Amino acid sequence: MGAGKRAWLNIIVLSLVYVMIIFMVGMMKGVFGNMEHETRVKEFANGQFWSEKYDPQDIINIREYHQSYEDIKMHMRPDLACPILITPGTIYSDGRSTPALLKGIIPEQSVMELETIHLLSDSDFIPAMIGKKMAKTANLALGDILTLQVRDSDGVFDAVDAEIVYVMQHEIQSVDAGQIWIALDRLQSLLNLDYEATIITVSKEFDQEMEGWEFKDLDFLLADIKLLSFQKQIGASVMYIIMLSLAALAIFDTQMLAIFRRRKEIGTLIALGMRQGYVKLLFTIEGFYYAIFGILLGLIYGIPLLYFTSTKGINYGEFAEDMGMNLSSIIYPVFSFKLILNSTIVVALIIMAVSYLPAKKISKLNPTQVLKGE
Amino acid sequence: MSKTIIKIEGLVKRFPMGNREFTALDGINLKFGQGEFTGLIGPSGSGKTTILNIVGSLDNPSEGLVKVLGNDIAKLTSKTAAKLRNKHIGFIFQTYNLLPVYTVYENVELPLLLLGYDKDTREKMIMDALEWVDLLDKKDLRPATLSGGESQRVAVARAMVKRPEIVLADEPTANLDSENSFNILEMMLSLNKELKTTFIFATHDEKVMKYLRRKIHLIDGKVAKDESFK
Repeated sequence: MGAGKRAWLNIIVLSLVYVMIIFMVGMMKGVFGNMEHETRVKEFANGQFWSEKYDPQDIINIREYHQSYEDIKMHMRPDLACPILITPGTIYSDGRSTPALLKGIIPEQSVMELETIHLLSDSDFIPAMIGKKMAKTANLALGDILTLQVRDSDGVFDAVDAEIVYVMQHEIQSVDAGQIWIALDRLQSLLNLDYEATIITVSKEFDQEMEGWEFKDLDFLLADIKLLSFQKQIGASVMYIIMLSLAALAIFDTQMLAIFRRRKEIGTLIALGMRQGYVKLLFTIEGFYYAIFGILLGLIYGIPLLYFTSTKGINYGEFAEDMGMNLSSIIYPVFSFKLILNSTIVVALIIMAVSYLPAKKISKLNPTQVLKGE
Repeated sequence: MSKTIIKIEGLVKRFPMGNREFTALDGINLKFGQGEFTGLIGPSGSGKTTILNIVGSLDNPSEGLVKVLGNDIAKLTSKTAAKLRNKHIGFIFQTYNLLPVYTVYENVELPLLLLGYDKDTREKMIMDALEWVDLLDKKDLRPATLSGGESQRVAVARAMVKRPEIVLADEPTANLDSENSFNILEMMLSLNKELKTTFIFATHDEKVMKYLRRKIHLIDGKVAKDESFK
């Protein structure tokens, strides 16, 4: 392959790597930004007050983790604070029994972006709503009648019939998988736990002290997502390094070949009085052109591509559901100026480094070895 | 004798050859004065090019003293050696060594760029040099379109453009026919007379020898005969 074709091939590969890195970082920012956002608006709002012993990981004993909010019930406005009572139960439907977490919530609440208002629907049974993943796994559909079995505060099993009045269509697994939502007062009545709640989710405007309740802010509640995001970024960084290394290796190889081919020219320049430092600079700059052209080419087709994906989003569809993460089905990658600038600097510096190494080697060329003969 | 600008005393040069060493120069003592038109004559392997390389600060002596314009070659750093070559020494090679991507004008311009001359000064000096070698009309051509004789004239212009004190020419006529060799040598002789530039040739070409005012015969890295002519 000719030097010109090889150079252009390198530039194209480098531009692809450059755009891919920006795209993947932007995509990851979009995914985890979306996860954080969706989890926040649909589950955590601006934070939660937990009952004293509540441990979300302890599903077996979760029915014990509730406490009274009667003394502070005046603060429980639907737009400010939403008590949620959680208890394990069993769903009986169509001859199948499925364990589930029953969650009692105020239907009129607007603290979380959940369509709980449907729990006020007219029905001969207790109106209940589920997420689409739960509908799939428990084989339930809108209008299905099922039996809910729970143990009340005295340990007595009770059972009531409920009707699925709404199936949530979002992909937020933490308010969907294995869960069934009914009105708070219905669940409290079933369990004989009037004015009892497991957690109280609050909006940004809520500013009351809640004695006996432990406040968990968003940093705490979203810590798992942030950790996952960090771990994924580390994993992805390895891939960026591999991709960039391959592009850098191709450029290094081309520079070495170019230098070998141009030894006589370099020997002549040294004989004419060119200094070692200048030879190094000359070939480092030449290698740097790869970075400049690669980045420019990447920007030419990358900007429209990145703009299109960031405005139209990428439809994850069923894939988002299968990932088991709190993701909306359309993800909007986030390409900030800082991301593009940082990627540009990293790519340029690495290409300069791989151009410098052959340049350094050739600057020590002994011209007497190459100046004589054809 | 004119002012000595190159002094060589007890010069020995050895090259590694596998596990052994090959002695290319063995105790050379020479002096070159300003304005000389001198040839190092001898068969291949006699040490002609090695002397040129050391005098041109492209290589270092293994032993002995080589002083060029007062500079001890062995003590030069790569930076000071480059400076010496850049300012004071011009090279002419057997294979011209012109840079193929540049025009005749740009090839001649290279030493001046390295010296940091401004554009107007460069232009004047280049035009003068191209006039000496009668290549003004070819200044915009690339080396690939030139004949061997023309290419070597460009190389002479490139060596002379900065008006160096010393020009080192390694087999400059080896690839040229008689007519071109004659033209090149006549031109170099006139430049030698006009600019008082010291020319040192490494050659075994009879055509060159006729022009030399001093012939230094080398055999096996030693000076066998040093003869001067009026």
